[in-house]
Amino acid sequence: MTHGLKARPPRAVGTAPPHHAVGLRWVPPVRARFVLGSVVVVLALWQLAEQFGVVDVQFASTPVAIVHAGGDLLSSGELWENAQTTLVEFFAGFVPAVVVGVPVGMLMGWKLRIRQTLEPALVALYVTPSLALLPLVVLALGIGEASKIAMVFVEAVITIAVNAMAGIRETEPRLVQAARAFCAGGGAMFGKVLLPGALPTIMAGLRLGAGRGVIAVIIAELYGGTDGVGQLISSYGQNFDVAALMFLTLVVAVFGYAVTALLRILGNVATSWER
Amino acid sequence: MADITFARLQISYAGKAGPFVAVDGFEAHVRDGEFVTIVGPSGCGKSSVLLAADGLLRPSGGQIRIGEQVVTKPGPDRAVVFQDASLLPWRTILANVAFGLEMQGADKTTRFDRARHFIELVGLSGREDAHPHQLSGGMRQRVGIARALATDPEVLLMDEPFGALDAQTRELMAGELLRIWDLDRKTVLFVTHGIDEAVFLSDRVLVMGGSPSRVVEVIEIDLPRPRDAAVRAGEAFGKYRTHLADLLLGTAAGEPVTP
Amino acid sequence: MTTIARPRRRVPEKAMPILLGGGFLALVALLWQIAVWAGLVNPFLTSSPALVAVALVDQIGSGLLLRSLGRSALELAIGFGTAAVTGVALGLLMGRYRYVDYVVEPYVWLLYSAPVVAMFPLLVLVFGLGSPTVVAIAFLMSVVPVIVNSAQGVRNVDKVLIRTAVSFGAGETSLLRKVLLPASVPTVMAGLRLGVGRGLVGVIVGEFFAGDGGIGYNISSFAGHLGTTEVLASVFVVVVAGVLLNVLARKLESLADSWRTELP
Repeated sequence: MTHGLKARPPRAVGTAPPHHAVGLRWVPPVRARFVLGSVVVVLALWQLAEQFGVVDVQFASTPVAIVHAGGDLLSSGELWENAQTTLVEFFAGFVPAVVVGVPVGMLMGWKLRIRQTLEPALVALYVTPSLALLPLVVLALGIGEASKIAMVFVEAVITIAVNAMAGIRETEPRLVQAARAFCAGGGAMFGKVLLPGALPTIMAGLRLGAGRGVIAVIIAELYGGTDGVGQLISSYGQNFDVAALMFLTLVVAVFGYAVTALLRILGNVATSWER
Repeated sequence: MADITFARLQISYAGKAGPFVAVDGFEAHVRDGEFVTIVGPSGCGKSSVLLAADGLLRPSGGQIRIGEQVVTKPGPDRAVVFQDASLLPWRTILANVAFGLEMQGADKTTRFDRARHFIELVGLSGREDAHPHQLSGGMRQRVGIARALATDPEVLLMDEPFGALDAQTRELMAGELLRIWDLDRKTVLFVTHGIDEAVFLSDRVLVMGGSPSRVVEVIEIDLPRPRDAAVRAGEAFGKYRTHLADLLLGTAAGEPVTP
Repeated sequence: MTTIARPRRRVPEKAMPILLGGGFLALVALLWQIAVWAGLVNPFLTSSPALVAVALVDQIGSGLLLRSLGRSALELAIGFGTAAVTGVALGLLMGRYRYVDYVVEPYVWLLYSAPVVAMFPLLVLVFGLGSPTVVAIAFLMSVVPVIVNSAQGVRNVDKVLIRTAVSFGAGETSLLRKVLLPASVPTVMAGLRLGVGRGLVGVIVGEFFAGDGGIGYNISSFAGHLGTTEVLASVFVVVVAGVLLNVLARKLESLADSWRTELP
């Protein structure tokens, strides 16, 4: 009988745990090597493709050119100057978004009537691209810093509130009953039961909100502005300076990742106190 | 001939500090049409021996032969009944029972006809269109057995199939299994940690123990077939059970049990 | 739940979300309208619900709305459609083969963190101004959650099921088709729902910068002429589209799940 058995050959025992023998994954330490290798190979191929004229330099730039462009942007102080503006705008929008979004979201999760009142509006904003409001916000607040801060705020606050609400709602049934049984009052319930229980989800909301906020501030600056990293991207983009454009995009990606990573560490610390 | 030969079988796992040898020098022979049970303390590697016999696990030493054929990978001559039935939750009972045949390339009519036949055999007629989550644990395990039988294997490998069931269902299922097995007497290798189950079902019981573990004793169960409640209540049954319990207690207490 | 049975209950509990949620939206609209009527705010700057409604009717009447909506919908359909196909395929491979996962991982991460829209000058260079670039932006934005979720879906498939299939002689293709894919349907569908949301962002924002038609382009160009009312009308359409897309995606999610259980 033929059965076309083409399962992965069993791995040599001694390298794989028992139930991972056939057709199953296992997590090895080679990951870093592969990630690094992949990046190095792609960069090298990219550079070589350029060297041999396979792709157009103007379209694709080269890794070396990007590094050069980055060096120029850094040494001229141009990047740092604009980054300061962007950072200020980002935090001026993000911090109030946390301050407003977390309590409002928690309140929505806690009090049924408040949730029923605000949820449709919030969810509608959550599932629609609030960046669509950008031209409107610019119309109302001008092309200065205010419109950028407002966009960061709007993008972040919705995500943060939705997650804070979800966090409370996930906690509630499990813990509130127990707390009720011990006659916990409203304040104690909120501070000792709901907040700690919801904290992981709230922190996840902050991370998502921060990610969306970073994109928002860049796009807002891109749309119209006088300085900031987004504006820098815009001006290099208009001159089709692809190397600088790519370097700056990479910088934004790294910054977004860094903020997210920072919030993750913060969240781990915060939740570890609770345990 | 569908006899199973284990020759100096060795099984090791990757541990944090290098490979860890769980089973070593495992020697056994299961005759064609024989019902053999492996018992041993938990963690002794009895399930690993069974999975190795299916080819799901590659031994680090020695070999397993089905007839003259050395096992290197799963094949249609063997079918496993897994501990947790492991049915595909999105498939109906009929489609689950037909799964093995489907993997072996049987056409739709054949596999559904056969599946219906074996669903009837395990007593689940009328539940063909149910989904696994609608069945009790015992019923799910019946489906698991039907799925294995439907592929008409020469060897049936059963990995603690009734381990997750309550005592009463378990006894019932053992009786059912013997009834079905009696129809064509396939070679069965059955892993369990239930002493009663082992005595009730088997022609022979292989007792595993030691570290690394191996077969420390082989017990012939000389009880009449077909076996029923009367056999279970008999004196001979009790003797076997006591002997087996003593042995297991001895292996568990006298020698370090593998983690 | 914080609801406590009250002695007098005039409103059935089921109606409360609609009553309160709808009421809140209506109240906001009403206050806004009243503020304009009372002369508290300048309608040229803030517009009013009535003006927006009239603008919407005008846009529908002139055919502008339908035309723009069609344009944006087509861009989304192409961008998201290709993202769904490539994303699911790549995600399945990444979930199944860890080497593919490791090799592709850094680029997925980059695509997730980077402001894709900022790359529009480059995309314009490659694809030209207008719909092709918008489609490319929508694709790049929506493909990420599809990849990530599909990979996660495959990784989370119960190992026992894989072992069972292998034991019964499943080859790699039938393993993929009969076990991995159906088992990861819920996660894949959730990824598609997230993806279509991001795709919509990509279309709207892409049209701001690189479009030559569509709802996003309208928003941007109306704003350029200080037409607050027209902008709001278009934004309203986007919000409705976003909500409808989400509802539709959730419907499809549950549909796919029941279809999966019906699979022979």
